[in-house]
Amino acid sequence: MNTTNTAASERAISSEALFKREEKANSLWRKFCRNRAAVVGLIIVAFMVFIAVFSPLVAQQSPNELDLPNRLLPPLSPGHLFGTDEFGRDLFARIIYGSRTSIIIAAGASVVGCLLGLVVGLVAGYAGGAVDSVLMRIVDGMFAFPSILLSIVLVTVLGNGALNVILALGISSLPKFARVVRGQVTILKNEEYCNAERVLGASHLRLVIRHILPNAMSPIIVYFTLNIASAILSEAGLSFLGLGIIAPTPSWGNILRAGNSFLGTAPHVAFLPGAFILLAVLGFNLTGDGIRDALDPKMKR
Amino acid sequence: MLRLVWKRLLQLIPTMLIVVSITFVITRVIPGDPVSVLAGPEADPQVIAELQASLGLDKSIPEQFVMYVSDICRGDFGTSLNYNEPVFSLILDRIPKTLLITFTGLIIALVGGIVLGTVSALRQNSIIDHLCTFFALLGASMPVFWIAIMSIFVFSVQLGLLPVMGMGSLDQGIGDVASHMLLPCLCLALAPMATFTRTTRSSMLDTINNDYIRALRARGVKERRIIWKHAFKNALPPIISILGVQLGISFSGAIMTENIFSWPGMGTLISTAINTRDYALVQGAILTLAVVNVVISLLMDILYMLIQPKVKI
Repeated sequence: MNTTNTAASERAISSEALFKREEKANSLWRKFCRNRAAVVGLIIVAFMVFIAVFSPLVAQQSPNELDLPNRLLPPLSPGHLFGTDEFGRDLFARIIYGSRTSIIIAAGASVVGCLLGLVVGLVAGYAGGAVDSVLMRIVDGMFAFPSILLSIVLVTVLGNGALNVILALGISSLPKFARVVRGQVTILKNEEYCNAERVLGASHLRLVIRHILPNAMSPIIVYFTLNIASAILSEAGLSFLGLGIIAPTPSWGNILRAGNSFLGTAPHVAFLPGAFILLAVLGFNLTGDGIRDALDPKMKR
Repeated sequence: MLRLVWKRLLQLIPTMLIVVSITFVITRVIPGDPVSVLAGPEADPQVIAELQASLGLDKSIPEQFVMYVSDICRGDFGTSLNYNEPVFSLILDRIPKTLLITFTGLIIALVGGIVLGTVSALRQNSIIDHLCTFFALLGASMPVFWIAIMSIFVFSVQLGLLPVMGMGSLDQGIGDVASHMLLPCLCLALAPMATFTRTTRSSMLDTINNDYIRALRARGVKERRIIWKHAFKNALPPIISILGVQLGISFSGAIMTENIFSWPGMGTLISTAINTRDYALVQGAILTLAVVNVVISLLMDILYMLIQPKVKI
């Protein structure tokens, strides 16, 4: 940085701004890293994303290859690290490929829920008045349904399959996001800089997109991360009930569903996918908490 | 005070209307129309028309909505195709059983969470504190259906200690029902207990570092009295404020848990209804659960206002 400081003044200003921004990023990152639980969470998340992306490399066997003579083998059997399921399929491969299903659906559902929640929350919070009342009463109404119930009903309406599960879980997480976004926007829209921007003649859209949204981002990022955790749980729950992802496509929930029938003879078929669900959810929860604490220590609860 | 309660009660009306509209929309878009289910695949067009008229499906959508609302107000939720009984009486039979495990679970969670959280706050940074914090983290991430299956495996399959299925019968004494309830309630309690532990711990930590607590200590008041009489009272509001959210989570948990333990409540009723395409029952059951959830959350809000008069909701 020493060399840039001596350069032409214009460049110095821009590099100083850059430096400041970098410093801020660094300190956020450093704050996050100082939190041991958060780092553990991030490592778990990285691990889960890795096995989801590189499933074919991690698991050498096919998740759907039947081998009926070797059904329900215990873990650590030769060639089957986690043993086999009720059709002799390699459980390790099924769980690894299952991570793909779970992570994609959970992330997708959170994106859908976040975007829908952003639209509803921004409109309600910014417009205020009657629009706000109507939209928030609708959100209250959606909140009345216990979340798993709303997902169950939506999947029944939409039908099963990955895309529909993403939609169903996304819509059921809409109210959570809408409330957070609205809360932020109602505070931010009366801030001094927003008034200044309004006086300068900025359009509503510009004000919302350029000034309010960026400042409302921190809690949204936190909720987004935490929502991935709850979406993993919901997807697994739906698939467990036989409503989400239907076999033979592996998902942690439907492996667990199959394992439930063989609890007496092969408990590992139920135990292992559940342990992966727990680990993944824990990872996203820890990461989300870590981001919250790093962004704003006052938000810590 | 009373005016705040009234205001809160008035807010209930639009929420209920939205809830009813949502269930109405859901039943109109749910795949498989009731007429073809009732009449069979090769029904006479005239029979279909008669059935449609008898179900009111030949009317316009707004008219259907008005009919739907007035039916609900009269407690007429239609007839279950599967059980051939009024949906309302089926639900009346099931809902107390769901409330029984939901509330027992929630009470276990509340008491357990408060005890763990307080102990953990009083011995900050001790091994007990770390264990409680670890439990709080793990409990909140635990898939309830997984822990339910694992507890069945350990306590019923391996140890043979507890019954697994159904709710037992009151004819065989209250112990029979209690032993059937034990596992579902404990599984259900786990996630809320984790949250209560966490909230209690941080709220207690905030409270016991106040000057008035130090003053009490200086005056030689007994530690036990300080904690439970003075600190706890002031640490309580944040714990009560999350009760409503935890209730919703407990209902979700109950729906899952009931299916695993074959507990004859709303959760099993809904999944059977979905699997048998008994849509009148699905509709009635989700509407009832939503209404019960809203009403109980409202009661909890009022409770919160009573102990914390400053708060306006």
